[in-house]
Formats: sequence, C-alpha cells, structure tokens
Amino acid sequence: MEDSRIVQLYWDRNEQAIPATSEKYGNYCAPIARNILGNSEDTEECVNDTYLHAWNAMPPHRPAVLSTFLGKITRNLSFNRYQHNTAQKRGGGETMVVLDELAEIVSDTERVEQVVDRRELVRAMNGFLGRLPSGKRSIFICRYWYFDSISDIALRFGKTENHISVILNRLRKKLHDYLCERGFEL
Amino acid sequence: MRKEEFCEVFGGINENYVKEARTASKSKKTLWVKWAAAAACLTAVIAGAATGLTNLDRQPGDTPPASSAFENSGRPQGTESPAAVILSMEDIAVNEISGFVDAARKWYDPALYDSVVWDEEDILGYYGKDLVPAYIPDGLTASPQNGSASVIIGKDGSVALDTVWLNFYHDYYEDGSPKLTEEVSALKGFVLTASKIGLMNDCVYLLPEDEVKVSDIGGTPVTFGYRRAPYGPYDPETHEPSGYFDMYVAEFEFEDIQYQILAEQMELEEVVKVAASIISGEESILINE
Repeated sequence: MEDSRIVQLYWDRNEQAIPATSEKYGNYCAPIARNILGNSEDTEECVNDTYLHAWNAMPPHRPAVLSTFLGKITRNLSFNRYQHNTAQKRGGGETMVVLDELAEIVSDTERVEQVVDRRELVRAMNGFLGRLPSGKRSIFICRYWYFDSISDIALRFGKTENHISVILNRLRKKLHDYLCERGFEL
Repeated sequence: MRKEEFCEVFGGINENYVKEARTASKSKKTLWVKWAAAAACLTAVIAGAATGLTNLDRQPGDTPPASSAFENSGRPQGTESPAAVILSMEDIAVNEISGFVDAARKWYDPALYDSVVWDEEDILGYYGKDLVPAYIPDGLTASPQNGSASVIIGKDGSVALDTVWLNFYHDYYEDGSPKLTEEVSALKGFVLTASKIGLMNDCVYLLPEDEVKVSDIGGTPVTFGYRRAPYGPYDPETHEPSGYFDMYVAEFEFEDIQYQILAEQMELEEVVKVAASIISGEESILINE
C-alpha cells in the first residue's frame, strides 16, 4: 500500500492503518528497536508502541517520509526503554558500545551552566553530515541513528570491520572538531 | 553534555539522510546480486548464447570510462520508493574551466519576430517533458519564476529562441532572484538551462576541445567542468578576492534537448546526481564510492 494511503487511513481514524503499517514497516522498525534493546520482548513492545504513537500523532501530523517518521518514534521509544532498563541493570544490544563511542564527542558530564540549544545542534549536525560523501554519511548514520553493529555495517557496505571502525573513528573526531569550531560546548 | 542526550539529539537529524542510509546499504546488496547475474550472463555470451547485456555494450568512437557509470539497483524490498540509480564517482572526469563566454545575442526584428512568454503548459508542450530534474539537493528550492520563459517566435510560427532557465537556490529575494550566502558572497545552488536550438553560453575549457574528457552517464556523454571562482569584496589595493568557491558545470544533450547545469557552492557529487536524474528520470541516485 502506498504511504499516502496509509497516512490517509490514520487521518480517517481507520483501524486498518495499524496492520497496514505493520505489514509494510514492521521489518523496518523492529531492527532499530532490536539493535538498541537487544531482546525480542522489549523490541516487540516498542514496535507496537510505535504504531500507537503514530495513531496519536496522525492527525494532526502528516509525515513527509513515513518510514523515517516511524523509525524516529521507534528509536525514541527504544532509547527511553534502554535508559529505563539500564537503571535497572538490564543489558541492551549495541547501545552501550555506541554510547561509549559517542562519549568521544562530548564531555559526558552534566554542567548546570551548560545549556545547548538542541535545535541549533541538530542544524550543525545536519551541516556536518551534508558535507560528507553519501557513503560515509550512511555508515555514520547506520551506526549512530540505527545502532547497527560494526559487523552488520561492514557486510552492508562491503568493507572490513576494521575499515568501518577506522571510518567511524575519523568521523567522530571530525564531528567533534566541527561542533567545537562552531562554538558548541559539549 | 551527556552522551545519552547527544544520542537523543542525533535522532533529530535530516530524515532524508536517515532514509538514504538504509536505501544505500540495501541497494549495494542488490547491486552485488546484479553484478553476479551480469557475470553469469557474460559467461553465457562467451559460450555463444544470446544474452541481455546490450545496456553495457559500448559503441566504437565513444569516449566512456572503463566501467559503466550507470546501474539500476531495482526496487528495495518492502518499500515503494522508485528504483535507485547507482553511479561511481571514479567514472566522472572533470575538466578545468578558464571562464564562460556568452554566445553573440541576436537582435530579432520586431517586424519578423514576436517576444512571447511561455507558461508551464507551453514549455511542457514544446519540450514534451517536465524539465525539472527528478533530484533536487537538500536545502535548494525552485524559484517562483521557474514556471515561465521568455522566447522569440517568428511571424511564421517558427521558434527562434527557446531557452528555458530553471533556478534552484538556497534562498530568494522577494522579486524571485536568488540570494547570496552570508559567509561567501556567492549564490548557492544551480541554474539549469535547456534548449532544443542551442545554448546561449559556452564553457571555455583549458584543454583543447578534442582533449576534453567526457563522462558516460547511462550512455549519455556528459562534460563536467570545474572552476575555482573568486568572490568579493575585492581588496581595493591588491584586487585580491575575499576567497574562492567551487563552481561546477555539466553539459550534455539528451533526447534532442541540450542541457547545462551551472552549480555554485555545490559538491560535485550533487551536480552528478542532478545530471543523472535528468537522464534517468529517477530521483534516487546513489553514489558508489
């Protein structure tokens, strides 16, 4: 079913919207949740919650790209669940390793006087990503947006795991420098 | 900032990049399968069997690179996005440009010619297709003036001047003219010029005409040019510019229409994608590094 038709089902408050979404995008959302959470029970719950959130968001929202709209909800829900689980000492997928890598970009401390404008930060991130060749940009996003494992990314892009790690390492350093040059105190 | 917060903020990046990341990786898999299939077909050719490799054949006299710069990846499973076209930047040759010259402008005798403004429908009727490229880079938008073109028509109905300019820039003034960027006082985006009769300006390449390198995009020869263009303000004493920015040009003829893309402050990769989208008609153009 076309995306516009699925979105219209939500707008019509037609419950067929949920199975239509699940059929088309279940296999897109589930790996995102699984990468973050690392267990099938939480994954299933987060994917189901994704549809509920989509139901609550549409209307009034009309997403331009349905796949990434749903993916973003899944990512947010899964990440929240991960943080909840971590507080209760329950492990989770790739997230801990991914976060440790991201710690190279930020100070990983919470300073009261430090207020970062999130919208400006996203804009700067987009500026950085926009300057990368599409291949490297996609590798970076696979790792830090989709939480894909290094081995999965290596397989997808036909490179060795070591090569992917080197690319990511350099890109993290570049992003850190890029943001610092633009005055972000991370 | 906590790493968790940074990770959350990263979730808000441009969704086109997010989509691209999945399409790119999926398509590479598909491409691999396709190359494997092509290799199998090639074996069959050697064995004397008929095959369907005609798309990869090259004609004598062509000046394409060694490998194909155009593959269709097919439709990713589970989505209804259009088929993606895959290009390799290794197959793209860029020639240095020393400048541009305007072809001599003709004067049209009002007794013999009329100046006419074509609207969108007229342009579509004359060219037989929508000239807007299927792929427009992020951050660029169509000028509000794009829907019309001033042309010259003879009293006998013949078209004497048919050039259409389409602007795609990052921002516009109220009158529709593109804005300069703040950091670099130059335009950011591209103008697409199209004509069946002939383009109104020419690139002056540093190389002799017969040595200018041509790239092959889907069987269409495309000439790419590059110029390190200066921008002002200029130093009043030394006349040195404030700096330089990248200017790329892509020129080609496709389906009897001559095209020129003049891009300022754009990556070469993006210019290649725009050209490939005109030739393929596909929006999804992937660059295979």
